[in-house]
Amino acid sequence: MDRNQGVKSKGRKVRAPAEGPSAEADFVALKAGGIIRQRQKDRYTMRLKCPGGRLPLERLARILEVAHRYGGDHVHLSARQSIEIPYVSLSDTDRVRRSLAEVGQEIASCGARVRVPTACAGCELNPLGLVDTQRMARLACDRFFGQGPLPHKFKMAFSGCPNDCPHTSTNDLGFQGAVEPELDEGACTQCGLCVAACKEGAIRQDSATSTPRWIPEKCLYCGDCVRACPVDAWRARRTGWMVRVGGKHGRHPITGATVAEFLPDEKVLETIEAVLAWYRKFGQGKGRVRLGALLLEPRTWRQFVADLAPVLGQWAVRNPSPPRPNEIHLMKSGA
Amino acid sequence: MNDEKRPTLRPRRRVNLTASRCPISMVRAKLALDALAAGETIELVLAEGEQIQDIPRTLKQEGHRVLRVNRKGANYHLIVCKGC
Repeated sequence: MDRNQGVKSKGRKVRAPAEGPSAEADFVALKAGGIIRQRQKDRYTMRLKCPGGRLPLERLARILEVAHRYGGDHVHLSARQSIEIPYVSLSDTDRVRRSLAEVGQEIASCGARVRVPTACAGCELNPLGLVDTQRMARLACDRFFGQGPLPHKFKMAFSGCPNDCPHTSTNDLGFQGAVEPELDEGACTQCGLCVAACKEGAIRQDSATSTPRWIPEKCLYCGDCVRACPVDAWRARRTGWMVRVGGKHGRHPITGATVAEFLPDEKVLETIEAVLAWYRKFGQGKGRVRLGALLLEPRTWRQFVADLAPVLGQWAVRNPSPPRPNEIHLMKSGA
Repeated sequence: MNDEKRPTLRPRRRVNLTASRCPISMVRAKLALDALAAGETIELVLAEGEQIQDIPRTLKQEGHRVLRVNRKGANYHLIVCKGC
């Protein structure tokens, strides 16, 4: 059961002031999520919306101010890059919300909704970044954040490279930057740096001509060869997003499946929209079920792949493997 | 470019980074390059593995150019031109 379940369930009294304009607003905010009941009586943690973990300094300053005034002696950094202000009294939550809204800082969500997307620093800061994860996380957040009701929560992550720090394979929908290299043999000086730079052994030097040979089956599309090549003989043929669906953490983790490769920026929002629509439709009447749990069933997976094919178009992976359960607990036999 | 201005492939200075670990190896490479004038060259000796995987791409991103690579056993000898 979610920690905030009790607040939302019918029959439980919401601790709001008996009078005053904030009472109704508090209740609305509680239902929208982002205000999480603590084990301490009348204390709530307010989860803030920080898409991609990026927080302008002006907002940070205001967060500090309201945390001093209404919170405890610390803030908490959530596992999904949000700042959370604990120890807020329910009667103060609306004041906190309004004060933060003055600088554009919103409250995040919880429950069966689209959550705030996470992202790494991406190509703006990270030398390894292949794509603009921050921009895409912001666009996805602006368009889809809070959408619901869904069968269950829906998490997205944007990663700039195959190092995959934001864990795209453990999100309901994950996008990871990738570059497909190609070699201009005429420009290549056969120096061998790309062979040495490739961590995957995906480039070997031809024994007769010393020309590098690319082995796509071993390639993770990280772009190390492109970055290392002193004469720019290795170039990016395609840059885009690897798209993973059906991943999750939690009690029974699932590793997401890659359904598209090198998806261009302009297809990302359309893909999210299609996956959400599919999840809403096929999750209906199945209870509190994550996308990945639905997709474990082979027939449902085939249906999903077929339904998404027109949206993913030429970038769709052919016959993709389904998501895989990744049991982490000791499951005693016979239990 | 005439011959006088062409970066030399026989630099006077060689820096062996093979005993250093990341990030010290990269810091030492940067310090060595800082001491050069633009267009001058230096020989950097890198170990296979992490050093040869990471340092050349950083050199390129910082505007330097690897002019030549010689493999000697487990090490790579790079002739690097500052700002070329």
